[in-house]
Amino acid sequence: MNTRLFLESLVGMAVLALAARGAVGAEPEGTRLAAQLLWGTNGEKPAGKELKPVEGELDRRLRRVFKWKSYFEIERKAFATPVGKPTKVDMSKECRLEVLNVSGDEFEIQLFGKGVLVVKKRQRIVAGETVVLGGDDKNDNAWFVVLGMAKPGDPARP
Amino acid sequence: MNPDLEHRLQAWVDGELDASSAQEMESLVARDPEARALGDNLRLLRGFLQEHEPVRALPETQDFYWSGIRRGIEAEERADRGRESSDPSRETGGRAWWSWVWPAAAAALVLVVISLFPGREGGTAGDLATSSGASSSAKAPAVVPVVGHEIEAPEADGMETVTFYSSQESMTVVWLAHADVL
Repeated sequence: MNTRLFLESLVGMAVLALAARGAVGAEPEGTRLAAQLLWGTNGEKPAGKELKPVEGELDRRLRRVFKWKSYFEIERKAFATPVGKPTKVDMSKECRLEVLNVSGDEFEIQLFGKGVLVVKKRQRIVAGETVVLGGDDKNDNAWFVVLGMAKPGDPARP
Repeated sequence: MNPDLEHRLQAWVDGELDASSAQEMESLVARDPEARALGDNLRLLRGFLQEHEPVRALPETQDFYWSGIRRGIEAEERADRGRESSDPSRETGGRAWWSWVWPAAAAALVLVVISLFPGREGGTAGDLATSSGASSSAKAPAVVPVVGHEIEAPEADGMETVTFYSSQESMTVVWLAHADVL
């Protein structure tokens, strides 16, 4: 009887210990960000490419800041940014982001092109604020990597 | 009484006439009862307005604020010119000395900033002005350059970096002209 009670207690404590370890060891997901790779043009949508036109508020904001009239989404990814652990996000075959959550809403953003670090920026990102890394492309077009807080419906696609 | 005389009488009441014209008006009022009555009424009205009209301070607009600074600078420059013309020694002495101190101080400050933030530490107003790619990409009135050292572009070969912030759009932009990303 005493042995059974002892064993039951042992099993119970083990279960509690594992549960506690799981709770403590689970890494906080951190802030969820969304990154979009966009293409801006004053011309027509390129034929044969699956590009989704940027619509709504982001389209209006981009057109108010930049000279291009049309923006197309090449890729969109939402991802978690655990504090202190860099998150790699492939935006295209050649374009990659590495985002490090430094402390809560402060991030270190690194943009790589063809495997080479192009720019590193430390930036605070809060709800409503957007960071745009962009550059010129051929034929007076432009590329943009837009970073902001992920929306609740954004699927997680690391 | 003709309108011109009425206007002159009003100007006299307001103290806007020179001495000889004011004396003319005094003579007129002394001999003309109609002019005297009008003058008395105008004085009464003026006193009433001075006592009872509420004084309202209008908010100073930004344009007025800056134009006020401009007027102040222009007035000081005029005063400086006046002092120089009255004292020729200032042209070669005090004024000439001050004229190069501030540019020299500004140049020294720029050198200090450059030495503190070496390389392609983007986001300066200078970058914004010199980067043809960026200046032609952004609509200038909506943006302001961001000055700081929070950005690095270590591998940038021939790339120009400009950082600016649009408060209207809550958007920080890092423009990388001639960057090989895609």
